[in-house]
Formats: sequence, structure tokens, C-alpha cells
Amino acid sequence: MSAEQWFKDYVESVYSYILLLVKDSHIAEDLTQDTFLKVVEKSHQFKGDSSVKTWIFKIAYTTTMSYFRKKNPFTYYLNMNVHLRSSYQSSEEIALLNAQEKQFYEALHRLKYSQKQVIILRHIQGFSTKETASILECSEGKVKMSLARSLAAFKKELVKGGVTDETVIRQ
Amino acid sequence: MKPLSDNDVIKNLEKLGESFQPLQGQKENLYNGIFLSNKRSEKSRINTWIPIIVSLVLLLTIVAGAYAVITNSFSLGTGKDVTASWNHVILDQESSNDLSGFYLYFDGQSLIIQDDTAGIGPSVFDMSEEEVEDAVKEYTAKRESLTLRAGEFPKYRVKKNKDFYEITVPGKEGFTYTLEKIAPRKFMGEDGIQYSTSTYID
Repeated sequence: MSAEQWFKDYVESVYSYILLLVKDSHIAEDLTQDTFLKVVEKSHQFKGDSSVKTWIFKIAYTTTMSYFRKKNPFTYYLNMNVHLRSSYQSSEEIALLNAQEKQFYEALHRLKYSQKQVIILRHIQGFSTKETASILECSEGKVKMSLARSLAAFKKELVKGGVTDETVIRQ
Repeated sequence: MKPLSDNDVIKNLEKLGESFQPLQGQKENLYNGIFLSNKRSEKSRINTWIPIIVSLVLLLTIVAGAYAVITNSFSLGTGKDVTASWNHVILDQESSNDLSGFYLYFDGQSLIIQDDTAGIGPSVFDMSEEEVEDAVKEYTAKRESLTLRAGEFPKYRVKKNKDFYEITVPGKEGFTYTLEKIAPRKFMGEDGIQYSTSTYID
């Protein structure tokens, strides 16, 4: 399969993953382009050790991390959720969310970067624990532990934002 | 009030991603930029801050000092190996400082250390880029002085001598960290950090 086909199959997932992290559609576009340029450049290196999607997401993950390292060195090294003056809000995407989606989106963005990562990869992008561990280059045990703690933190943020068992709209 | 179920949260998360897909125009631009053009989009250069030589010198000084203190102080040497009884133990940092929020999990194979530093550290509101750079250097130097750091460390051992526990991790990334049991489920680390655990440990 060619890199062009990989692009057609995965550009939406990669873009949505990056956009949820960087919160700006222009930056998400740039980083998605960077990701797929690397995919094209390194396509001969893909050996089938993982699924293509996992391999592409590994590249997307490292591309996004590089961006954060350059953009916000303080938050990158401390894994904090500090909002510097230059941080962005993707207002167009948020405006299209319904009320409950907005609450979930805002709760997600109150989490630490590492907590957001594991929730986005496992539950929004649908990767397995093993695939998530491969993308984040850590053990499955660590992913399981991080995910449990991240979900607990996420639920706390949801409750702070007014989402309860009584008010949640079930999908 | 019933707590939110994981199932409800997960199902809503799965749906959230659908709202952040690229538009058709965006996909076409991306395709053209990748496959039809040799030009890469220009990115604005952001000043990167230089690796910290000063903090390395500081680190070496602090490590040398800490090593001198530790070797002069209590050493477990022939303490009893209690590694097995520490399987599935969780130590949660309960003392607050502005440097760390450690969470240690002994899973039998590896010691997994997480560091919840959210909300810790100086405020960076209204700081210039240069001030942020200095604040990061200073803060990083302080954090480098801690023995523990986030990561996964295989083949750990735990030795006990009276109320002291020495955690040893071998290898290039290894370290030795001593804890003192100060209450049935509370420990104090060699760096003054206090931890609590929900289980009674040997």
C-alpha cells in the first residue's frame, strides 16, 4: 500500500488527534502535513512490526511533542497545563459542539498533557493498550495505570464542570 | 449522587473525536502540500532555550554533596530483602512541595514512578520569554537534584533494616532511595518527602 493510500485512510484521525492537543486548526494542519511528509520520507522503513496506523501515530506523537518542546519549553518539561499568553483556542470547532460535548472538551483540556494523551489515544482514537504503549514508547502496565488515573481525574473535571450521572446524555 | 460511570464517559469520548475532523478543503490542501509540492509550509522559528550547562554543574555539585551525606549516614548493607512483600504497593506523596508529586507503584517487575507536577512551580503569567527561560533553568536544576524521577525502572530490590527501607534500581538509569517508616502506613523519603500507602507493608 502506498503513502498516498495511507494518507487517505488516516488523515482524518491524525488531524483530529493533533487538533485535540494543540487546539488550533492552522497548527494542526501544519503538524499533520509534517507528519505525513515524514511518513512519505520514511515509508520504506515501515517493517510491519505494528499496524500502519500505530506507526503513523507514533510519528504524529513525536511531531506534536517537538512542537510543544519548542513552543512552550516550560510546560513541556513540567507537563503542566499552564496557559501562557500565546496559547490558542480553536473557537470554530468549539462553536459546533453541543453543550455536553463542550463540557467534555473543556474537562479534557483541564487535564495534564500526559493524561490527555492516554485518553485521546485509548478512548477517542480507539487504540488498544498495546498500541497506545507502542505510540507512547512505554509499557502496557504504565498505560493501564495512567489510564485509570487519567479517567479518574477526567471524571473529577467533568463533575466540576457540571456533568453528573443524572445530567449526562447517554450515547 | 451516583458517580459517573466509566462506560458513559468512554462512550461520550468516542463520539467527541468525530467533531474534530478536517474539512474537505483542508484535506485537499494537505494532499497538495504533501504529494504535489516540494515546498514545506514555513514555520515561524521560536527561540529554543539552550541546554543548561549551569544546571549540569549545579547538578554535579548537588549529587556529590548528596552522595557524601548518604554514604556518611545510615546504610542498609546486609538488610533483609523484602522485595516480594512490596509487590503491588503504591506510595503516594502526601507532603506538598513545589518540586514533585510522586506516585510510586511497585508492580513486581518494575517500579513505576509518576510525577504529578500539575499546579506546582512558579506562575508564568506575564513573564517574558527570557524570564520563562530563566525560571525553567532554575526549576529544572532543583528538580534534577531529586533522586526520584518519573519513569519505569525494572529489577528493583527493597531491603529492610528496622524501620528503614532501601529501594535499589540497578543499571545506568539506576538509583538508591531510602525511606523511613514513620507510621504504620507512612514513610519519609531521604529527601524529606512524605508518602502514604493504603496497605500495611513488611
